[in-house]
Amino acid sequence: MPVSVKLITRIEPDGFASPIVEFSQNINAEPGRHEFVLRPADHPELKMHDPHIWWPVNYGKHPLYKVTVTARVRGEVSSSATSMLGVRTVGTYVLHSGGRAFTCNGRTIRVTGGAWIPDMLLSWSAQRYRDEVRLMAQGNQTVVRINGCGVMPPEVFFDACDRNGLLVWENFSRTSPPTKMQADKNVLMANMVDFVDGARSHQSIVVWEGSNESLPQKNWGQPMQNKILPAMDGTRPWLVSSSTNAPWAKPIHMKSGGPYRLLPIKKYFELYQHRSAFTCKNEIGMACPLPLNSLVRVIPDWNKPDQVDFPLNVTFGFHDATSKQYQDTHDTIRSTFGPTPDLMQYLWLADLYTGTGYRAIYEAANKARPLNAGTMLWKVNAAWPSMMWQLFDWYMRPNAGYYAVKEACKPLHVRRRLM
Amino acid sequence: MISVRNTSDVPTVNVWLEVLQGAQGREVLPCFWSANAITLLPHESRELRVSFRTASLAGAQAHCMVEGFNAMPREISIATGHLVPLAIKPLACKLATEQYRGQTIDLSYVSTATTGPRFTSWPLPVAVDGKIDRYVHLDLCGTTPGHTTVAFRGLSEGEHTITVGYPNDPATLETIKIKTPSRPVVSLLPRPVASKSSDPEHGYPEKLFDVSLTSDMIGTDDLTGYTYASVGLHNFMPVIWTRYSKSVTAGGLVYAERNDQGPAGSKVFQIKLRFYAADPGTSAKVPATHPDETIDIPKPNNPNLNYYPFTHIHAGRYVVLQLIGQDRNPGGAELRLVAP
Repeated sequence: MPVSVKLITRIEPDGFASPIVEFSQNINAEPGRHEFVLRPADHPELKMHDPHIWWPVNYGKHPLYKVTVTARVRGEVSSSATSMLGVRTVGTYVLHSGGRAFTCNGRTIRVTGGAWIPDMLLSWSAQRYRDEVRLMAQGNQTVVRINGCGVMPPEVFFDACDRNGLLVWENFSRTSPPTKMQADKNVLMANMVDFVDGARSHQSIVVWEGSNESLPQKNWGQPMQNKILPAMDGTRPWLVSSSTNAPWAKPIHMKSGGPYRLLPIKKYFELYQHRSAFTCKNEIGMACPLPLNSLVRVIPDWNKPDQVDFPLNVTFGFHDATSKQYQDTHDTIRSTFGPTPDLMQYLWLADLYTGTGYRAIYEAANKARPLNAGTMLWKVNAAWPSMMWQLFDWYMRPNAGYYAVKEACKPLHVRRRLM
Repeated sequence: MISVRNTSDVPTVNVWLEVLQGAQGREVLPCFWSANAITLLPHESRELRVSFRTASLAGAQAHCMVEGFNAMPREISIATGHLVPLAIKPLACKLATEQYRGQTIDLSYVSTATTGPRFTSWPLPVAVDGKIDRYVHLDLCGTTPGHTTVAFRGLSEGEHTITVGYPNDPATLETIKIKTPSRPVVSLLPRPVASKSSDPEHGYPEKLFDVSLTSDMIGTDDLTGYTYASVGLHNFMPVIWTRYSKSVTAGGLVYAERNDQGPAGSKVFQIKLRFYAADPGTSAKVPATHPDETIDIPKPNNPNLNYYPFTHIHAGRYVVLQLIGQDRNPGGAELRLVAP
């Protein structure tokens, strides 16, 4: 039996001065799921006049309107839903250099930031997600790329991104390449449709990306690109993959592929000046050894170094110091300053190199503008206590790289002319 | 708002500020600083803003800790703005080893005013004859003493006074006298009949001495007749493989760096050697005749021939050695084995 429902829509500014809009409409709701669309043609109140515009980090404020829809049945409140709304447009275009650029409200956004991954136990509190977003946004990072390999961040993460002006590059499930094991298409599709249904109202999301590095499996990627996203959203760009082109999709004009290790500082400037892969780089990074007070919490035998590779030992290896890309930081410290006599000296120097390296990446990217509009790091946060690829660690303790990125990505940053 | 100043006459790099849960407590995380890991020029000061949740203090008072690569740690109470006493005292400072090659000193300190679980890094100045030679870092937590070994190489002949600790804090000071003996006269071994160098880049360190010989990059200095570990443009730490006409017994080596054969600024700070009775370049696993010998070169870029004695006397017909240096490129170098 259809029920007569009075829908009351209220749009009010959240924390700034602006007129409140409220209107109502009576509908007949069918049993089960019923989608009812409020259109500006029927409700001129939905046309916002001179709205407060939402901008990303460093480009302006991030005002949000609170939209509350209340359903009343026979005068009683039956149900109510609230959503935050920001007013902005997003888009993308290809630079003359061949690199991809993203826009917000028609303005090209300097893409800074990196990949974000969920924690190993999936047990973080809501506050943890808010803190990680705040760290990224206050570190002058404009974009975060969700690289959960299939794990989507919770609602609170996107809420925090909306409030902090952090744009989200939403990477869908990392599905296997077609030659390998395929995911069940129907399960995957239902999962992603459900996710898009919830996430699409967050204006922080700037782009949908089919799959990290590889291509999404075709039986899911093609309908997503051609039917589902245009129907469910249609306001954001779609990229088939972060690093692979598909014959059935538009060219992506970007590259992953690192380098994932510390290079000599000048090398970064050379790469950004001369290599096409660096016109839009979405993965680059280096080893980031933990600071002492994080390290002693995860490496109980930190003061028992191996005879060959001071100050490392097997436990360091368990925390990713056996990675080939770690060796460059290790070698650089030892070959520049000699065998270090103590752990703390090693860690100070490692931290110094981390800071210098990350600063060089963004200074080189700054210098290469307008060839380059975006550099994303692999990666920003830590899924577990690791010695690799992070601007802040498992305990949310930043390293010098975090503050180096913050410095290099300031709207006005003075840089020494290295070359 | 926290103000920090470099009160010294030298720059201080990578200065970290942390908010702590009480005296020497755990760091309050997350903590949002306007800037951190800063560099301060002499007498420069900076103001930094910080925000954190009071709940993160876990009921303790907020303290702020400042540490730097070459800065004495300082802790203040944010509520009162007063300095929190931090103090260390030496437990031991004694000569550990004394050889011709140099001396090592065992150093041990303990914190005398520590309460919390935090590790604090103390960069202790080490002065040789009144002049600061380096900083050694001791990581101290609670009442656990911290140990480190300070190695001295290539000090001039005669007696030297080593002073460890902060000159403005006499309680931290330790002094020890060490003596460097006179140099022996060296007797060079005959030149090897063949030498080759290989690229260890794809195998280091497992294949450090498990050489795969690919190219001939060894030269001979016409003037002195010394073997020449020249790698020119090749950007790696070479492993040099040397074959003598018959088994040799060596007690040391002489070594000098010559930059005319490579980019200036090549700094070899260590040479590792291993002796074999049979050819280690063959596919069969040949055991070394002795443990590795490691020579530290205290003053890189030294064009003068210096004598570096081994800790053991080594014998073998095949010698594999590796130069470890800055940029992985030793440039040109001269080295030759010396009879015991």
